[in-house]
This record gives sequence, structure tokens and C-alpha cells, in this order.
Amino acid sequence: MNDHAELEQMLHLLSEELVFPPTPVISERVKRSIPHRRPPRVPGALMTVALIALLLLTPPARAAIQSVFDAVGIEVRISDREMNGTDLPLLDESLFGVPVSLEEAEIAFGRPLVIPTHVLPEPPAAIYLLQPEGSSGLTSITMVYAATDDLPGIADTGVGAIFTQMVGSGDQPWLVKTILPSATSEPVSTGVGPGWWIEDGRLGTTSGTDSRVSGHVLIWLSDNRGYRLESGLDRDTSILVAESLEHR
Amino acid sequence: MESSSDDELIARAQRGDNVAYDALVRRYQELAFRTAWVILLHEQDAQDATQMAFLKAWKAIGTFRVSDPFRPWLLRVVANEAKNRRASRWRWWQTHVFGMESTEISPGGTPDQLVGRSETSAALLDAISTLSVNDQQIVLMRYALDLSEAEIAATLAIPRGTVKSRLHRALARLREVVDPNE
Repeated sequence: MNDHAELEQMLHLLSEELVFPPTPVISERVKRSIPHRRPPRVPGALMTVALIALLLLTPPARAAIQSVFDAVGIEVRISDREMNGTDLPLLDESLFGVPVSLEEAEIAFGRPLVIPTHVLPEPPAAIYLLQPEGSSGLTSITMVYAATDDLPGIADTGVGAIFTQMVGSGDQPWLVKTILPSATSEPVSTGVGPGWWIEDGRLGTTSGTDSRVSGHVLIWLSDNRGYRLESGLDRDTSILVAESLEHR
Repeated sequence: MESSSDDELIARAQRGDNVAYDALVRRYQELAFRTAWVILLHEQDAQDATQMAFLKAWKAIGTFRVSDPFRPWLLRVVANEAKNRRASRWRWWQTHVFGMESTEISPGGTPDQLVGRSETSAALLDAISTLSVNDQQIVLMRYALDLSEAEIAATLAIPRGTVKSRLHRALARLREVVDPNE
């Protein structure tokens, strides 16, 4: 005889009476987010994220400024102090380079560019090319997207998103993302590679102490390229953008 | 499409058929959302976790063996996503709000957003809210979501014997609360 038969009967009755929160229409969002091609798996991605998480949980490893995650050409640092340099404009040349056409960008990049297909409107409003001297062939292409109803602006700039893809030497970072004590940051797994999510950080370069306030930033690695998405989008939507990349 | 079996839809989805996968999502979205909700006890988080889980399941569906039951496989993806979110949410709070280093998981909330239509069900829900988070999850999965013990084990990635013993312990505790004189 089951000791709890009566109670179980009550629980079964309870399940018929329960009113759960209404189920959202998830299928539509999933349908919009499924890329047309399957992104390749990145070996060791989970291991990298686990190592990053371990680093953060270890107090000595958090000391002062430290590099915690190097995407190709992008370095993430944790800082225990505010930065003192000049505030740069949102699209400063030292950060993203000079305006070019899509065709010029692709020729300079030397391989097919990828384009986000989730949320960000096509085509980008502007494209920038950066090939800093002494950076071991590092090339960065940045696509700037105007704010829309689905893409909130960064501060009051009218810019909705700044998407950068970089190739080159991984030991010569150019963009430096600094996480201040007040910032929110965490390692994330994007499904196409390991990444880092930062809210309220600052963006600078290795060449000086100048920097600027940035929107929410997702940095991730995939296919030996480094990627960076700066926008007002939340973490999960940014990850969906990362997972939506398609070759042009 | 709606009348197609899981196996048919999965086989088509494995060949890259988005429409077939969409039918699977619509078939399981309510159960998946409620499973995530039982773990997170937060509507928006559960919605986000469910959406992300379906995207991850789409990417992994090529590895799914059609001879296996789909529902527990999917719910495991959902539960993993929900548990990761709960853990990272708690780690964030520990680090940024409390300045702690422990990796202990939050005791979480209570299922007080659930509504019972009668006094008895309201009393039972109150009793369930006194259980530990792990026991709440198992009770709600078993009785509110009507998952079998085997499905709960697969969903939470724990042995079936553990599900059985936790369920027994939770029921004993519930009986004490509902009928303390017995």
C-alpha cells in the first residue's frame, strides 16, 4: 500500500487546477533566430569558458589589471580603477579605422565577410577598416547599424549596433575592453564559440589611455576570428546575433 | 505537419527542415516553458531559457538518435539552460552584491506565482513552497507537469533512484505540513 496515495491523489488534482504563467509564443522567436546554415562547433570552447570562469573565481587572478580573454585582436581586462584618459567619440578612428565600401572591406579582409542576420537591419549604415601598423597583419572590419524600433540606440547617438570582425595575430591585441569594478561581466558560451559579456565597460586601444564609454558588449571567438558586438541589446539577444552570422 | 509523429519531424529537422523543427517547437513549447519556470521561478528568465534551449536543441538535433524518446532529451536541454541561468544569476549576485566567493546555489524562490483555484490546492501550494528548491522541482515536475520518474531523471540528469528517494522524502514532508496530526 502506498503511504502517500491520498496525498498523491490530491497532488494530481492540484495539477489540474494550477494556473501557470501563460506560455509565450516561443516558436515564432525560435523560427526567426534559426540560422540557415548550422554554425560549426568550436573544439574546446566549453573548456575555454570553464577556464575563464575559474580565473574569475580565483582572487589572486583578479588582481589589478589582468587579461582574461583574448579574442583575435581584442583583449579583455579587469581593472580596479577608473581610466584617466580623454573620452573618445563613439566611432573614433583610433578604434575602428576609416570608412570604406563593403567591396573594399572584403578585399582588405582577404576572405568572405560575415553578416549578422538577427535583429540588425541590412545593409549596415557605414563600414570601417582598421589595419594598424605593427599589428602582425591584424585587420578589423566594423559595420555600424542605425538604431531601429528593434535595435535601441547606444546612448543618444542614433547608432544601434557596432559589429566588428577581426583576423590576424592573436598575440597582438588592438582593441582593449576594460571591465571596471562597477561593470557587469561574465563568460558566456555563444553556441559558435566562447565569449564574454560586459555591461558598462570602457573601450580603448593598446596605444594609449584614451577610451570611451560603451554600450553592452559581447566579444566572442569563432573560426579563428574575433568578433565584437556593441549595442543596447541584452545578453541573450546579443548571443542570438552572434549565432546568426552568415557569409555575405 | 501537426499530425506527423515526433520521429518523422525529427528526421526531417535533422536534414535541415526548419518547418519540421518549428512544428516540434510548437508541440513542446508549453511543456518546455513550464519546465524552465519550475527551475527558475521567474517568467522572463524561463522564457529566455526556453528560447535558447530550443535554439541549442536545433543545433544539436543532428546528434539525436531517432530511436530515443525526444521529450526527455529536449527537457534535459531546457533544464540545463535553466540551471545554468540560475547558477550564473546567483554567482553574479554573490560577486557583485555580496562580495562572496562561494559557489553555493541560491535557495531560490517559491512557486508563489502559481495559482490554485481552491483552498485545498492553495494549501498544498503553500506546503510545496516550504520544501527545498530541489524537492519543489521534483514535486512540480512529477505532479504539475506530469513527468514520469524516468523523465525527471533524464531532465535533471540524476539517477532515477535519486528522483524516487527525493520524491518520497518530499511527500513525507508535505504530508506533515498538510496533515500534522497524522
